[in-house]
Amino acid sequence: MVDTRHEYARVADAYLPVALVVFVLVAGAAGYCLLRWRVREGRDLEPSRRHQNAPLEIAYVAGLAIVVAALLTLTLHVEGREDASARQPALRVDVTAAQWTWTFAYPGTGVVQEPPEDRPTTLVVPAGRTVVFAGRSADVIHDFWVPDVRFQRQLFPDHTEHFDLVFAKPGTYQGICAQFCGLEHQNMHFDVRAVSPAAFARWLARRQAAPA
Amino acid sequence: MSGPAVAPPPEAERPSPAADGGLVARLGSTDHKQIARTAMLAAGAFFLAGGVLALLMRAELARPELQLLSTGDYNALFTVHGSTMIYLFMVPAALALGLYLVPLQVGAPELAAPRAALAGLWLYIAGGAVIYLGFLTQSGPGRATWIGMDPLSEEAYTPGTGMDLWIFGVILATAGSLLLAACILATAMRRRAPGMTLLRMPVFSWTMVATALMVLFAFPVLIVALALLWIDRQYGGVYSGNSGALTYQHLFWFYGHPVVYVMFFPFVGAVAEVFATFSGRRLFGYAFFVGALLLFTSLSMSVWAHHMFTTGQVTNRYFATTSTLLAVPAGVEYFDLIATLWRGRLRLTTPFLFGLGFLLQFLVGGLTGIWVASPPLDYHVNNSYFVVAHFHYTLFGGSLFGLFAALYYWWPKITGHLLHEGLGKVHFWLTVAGGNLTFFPMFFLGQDGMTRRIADYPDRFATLNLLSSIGAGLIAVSVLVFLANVAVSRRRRRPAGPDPWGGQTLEWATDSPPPRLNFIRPLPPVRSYAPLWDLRHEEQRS
Amino acid sequence: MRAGPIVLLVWGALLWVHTGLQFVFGTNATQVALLGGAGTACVLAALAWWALRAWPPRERVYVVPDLSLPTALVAVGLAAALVGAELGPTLIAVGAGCVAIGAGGVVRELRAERRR
Repeated sequence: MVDTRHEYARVADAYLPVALVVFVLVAGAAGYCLLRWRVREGRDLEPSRRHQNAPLEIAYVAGLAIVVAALLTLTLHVEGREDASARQPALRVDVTAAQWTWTFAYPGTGVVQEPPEDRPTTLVVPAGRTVVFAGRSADVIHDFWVPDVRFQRQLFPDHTEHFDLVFAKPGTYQGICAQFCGLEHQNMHFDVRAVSPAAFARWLARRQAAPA
Repeated sequence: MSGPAVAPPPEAERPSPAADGGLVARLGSTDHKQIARTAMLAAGAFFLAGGVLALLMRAELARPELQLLSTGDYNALFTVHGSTMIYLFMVPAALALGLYLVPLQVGAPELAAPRAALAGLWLYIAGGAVIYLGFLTQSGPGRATWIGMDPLSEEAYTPGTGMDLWIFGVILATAGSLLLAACILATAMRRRAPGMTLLRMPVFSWTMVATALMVLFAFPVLIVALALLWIDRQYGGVYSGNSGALTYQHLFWFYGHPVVYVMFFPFVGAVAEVFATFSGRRLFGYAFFVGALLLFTSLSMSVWAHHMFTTGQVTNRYFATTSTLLAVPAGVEYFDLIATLWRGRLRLTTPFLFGLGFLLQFLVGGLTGIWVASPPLDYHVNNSYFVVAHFHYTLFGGSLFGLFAALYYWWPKITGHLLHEGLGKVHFWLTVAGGNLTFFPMFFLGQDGMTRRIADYPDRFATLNLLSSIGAGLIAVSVLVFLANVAVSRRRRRPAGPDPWGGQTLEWATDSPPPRLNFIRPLPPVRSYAPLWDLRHEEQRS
Repeated sequence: MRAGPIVLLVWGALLWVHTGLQFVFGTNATQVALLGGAGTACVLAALAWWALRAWPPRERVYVVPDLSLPTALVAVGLAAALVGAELGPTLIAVGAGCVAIGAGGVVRELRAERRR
C-alpha cells in the first residue's frame, strides 16, 4: 500500500532543506563578495588576476554530483513505488472525464456515480484501502487531481490509464481537473468521500438496491 | 572611465541610410545593428502588450468570482499573454541582443547572410501581428493555451478563425527566430577576427552559439507540429485519439523545453560579461563555463517529457534523471559567476544590480525546477500555481532581470548615451519587490491546490491572490520607471564614449553607436576571451 | 575555418549520448526518434558545413547593399500568402505577388553585387 501523500512528504522533506541551503549559500556568497570587495569612498582594491582553478572546480563538480545523485536516488525509489500497481487492490473505480463533468463507475456492482444537477460528482471510497483507478477521457485531455493525496494523472481519449491511490483517513476531499480543458475548466470539480470500509460496504449495498 | 569618443575620420565611414535610423532603414536595412534595434523595439512593444494582458488577468484574479471578464475572455487572455511573452517577446529579444552584439564581440564588420536576418525580422513581426489579428475576428484570438494542447486545439473543441491565426502567427514568428539564430551562429563561426579561436570567443557569444544550436534543432519541430495541427483542423485525421494527443505533446515539448533555455542562456552570457566587467576581473573558469554550457544545452534537448510526467505514458525515470542532472552544469555556471566576484573590485552599477537580481531570482526558479523534475513531487504540483510561480521565477526572475542587466549594460553602446543610474536603481528595487510579491505567493497557492488557467477560485485563496495582484501593479510601475528612464536619458544625452564601463570585449573597442561596418580603428590583438582586459593590464605593466 | 562543423559535431555527439542513455531506462520509438533525429540532423549539418567550408570563397569581398527592401517584401509576402490560406485566396494572390516582386528585386541586387 503506497500512500502518495506520505511519499510526497518524504521526497519534499529531503528536497526542501537542500534547496534552502543552496539558496542561502549562493545568496551568502554573493552578499559576502559585496560587503568585502565593493568599491567605496576612500577604499580602492586591486582585483585578483587569478581566473581559473581547475582542481577546485573538479572537486566542486564531484561534490555537486554526489548531492544530485542522492536526490535522484530518492526520487527514483519513490517514483518506482508510486507507479508500481498494487497486487491486490481493494476496489476498482472506472473514471470517465468529459467536458466538464466526472463519472465514477464501480465495475461488477452496476453502481455509477453521475453528476447531479449543478453539483460536482461524489466519488465514494473506502479509507485506508488501495483503490485502483482506471481513467479515460471522452473528449479532450483532462487531469484527475486530488490535492490532499498529492497526486494527479492526465486522462486521454481512447486510452485507459491505471493508477493506485490510498485515502488514508476518512473525510471529504476536493478533486479538480488540473488540465485546461475549455470554457468550464475552472468548474470541473468532484468530491471525494472517504469512509470506513464497513460504511463503504453499506453505501455500496444501498446504492445497488436503489439506483439513483 | 575612458575619455570621450574619438571622432572617426568621415571618409572611413561608408555612407549609410541605416545610420539615421529612419523609417526606410527600419524597413530594409541590412545592417545587423539596425535589424536588431527594430527587433528589440518590436519585442518591447509585444512585452508591453503582453503585460497589459497580464494586468487584466491579475485584476480579475484580485478577488474570487468573476468581475471583469467572462471565462472565455480569460482563456483568450492567458493564451495570448503566454504566446506573446514567449514567441513574441523573450525569444526574439534574446536573439536580437545576439544579433546586435555577436558581430561586435567577434570583431566582424557585418553579419553573415544579413538578408536572412532581415527576412527573419519581418517574418517575426508579421507573425506577431497575425496572432493579434485574432482579436478582430468574431471568435476572438486563440484560446487553447500557449501550448495549443491537442485535442483541445482541434476544430471540434476550439472552432474559429482566431485559433487558426494563432497557429499561423506562431509558425511565422518561430520561422523568423530560426533565421535570426542561423545568422548569429554563422557569424560567430565564420566571421571571427584574426586570432580569435573558438576558446577565445567572449562568453556572451558562446551562449548565443549554444542558444542558436537549440533554436536550429528544436524550433523546426514546433513548425511541423503546428502545420500538422492546422491540417488536422482543416481536414482532420492527423492527431487522433490517444496516440495523436500524445504525439502532439511530444512534438510540442521537444520544442517547448529547449525554448526555456533559449530564453535563459543569452542572459547567462550577458550577466557573465556584466559580472566580469564590474568586478574588474576576467570571467573565472572560462573553459569549465563553456563546457558546462555545451553539456547543459545538449542535455536540455533531452528533458522535454518532464512536462508529461503526469500522462503516465512516458519513461518518467529517464526524464527525471536528465532533468535533475541539469543541476550539475547549472551549478558550474553559478560557481564561475560567483567566483568572478570573489576578490574583485566590485562597482555596484545598475547593470550589476540586475545581474545580481538575475543570479538570486533565477535561483528560486532553478531550485523549484529541481523540485518539479522529481515525478513524485510533480504528481502534485503539475498544472498548479506552483508551476506558474516556478516558471515565472525563471522567465521573470531569470530572463527579464538578465535582459535588463543586458540593456543597462549595452544601452550606451547601442544608443551612444548612458541611462540614468538613479532611476535605474529605483527600477531595479521596484522590479524585485513587484516580482516577488506577484510570484512568491503562487508557490503556496499551488501547494494548497489552486490549479492553473482559472478565472475564479475558492474564497480560501483570496488573500494570496490579492497580494499577487498588488505585486503585478508594482511591476507595472517598475516598467513605467524604466520607460521614464529611457525618456529622461534621451533628453539628457550624456555621451557614453566607446567604453563607459571598462569593458573587456571587442564591442567596447569601437564607437558608441558603432559605425556601419562596426570597426574603423584596427582591432586590438586577441589573445584571450577578454582582449581589452589584456590590453589594459599590458599598459599598466609597461 | 572549421569551427562551425566542430561545434555542430560535438553537440550532435552529445545529443546521441543522451539518446543512448534512454536505452538504460527503457524507451520508445517516439522518444528515440525525436532526440536521435535531432542529433543526426546536427551531425549531418556538420558534415554538410564541412563539405561547403570553402563556400562562399573567402577572397571574394561581397558587398551587400545597405538597404534591401525587396528582402523585407519577400518576408511580408510569404506571411501574407500563408495567412491567406485562412483568410481567403485574394490574400494568397497579393502575398504571392509580393514574393515574386521581392524575389526579382533580390536577384537584381545579387547581380549588381557580383559585378562589383
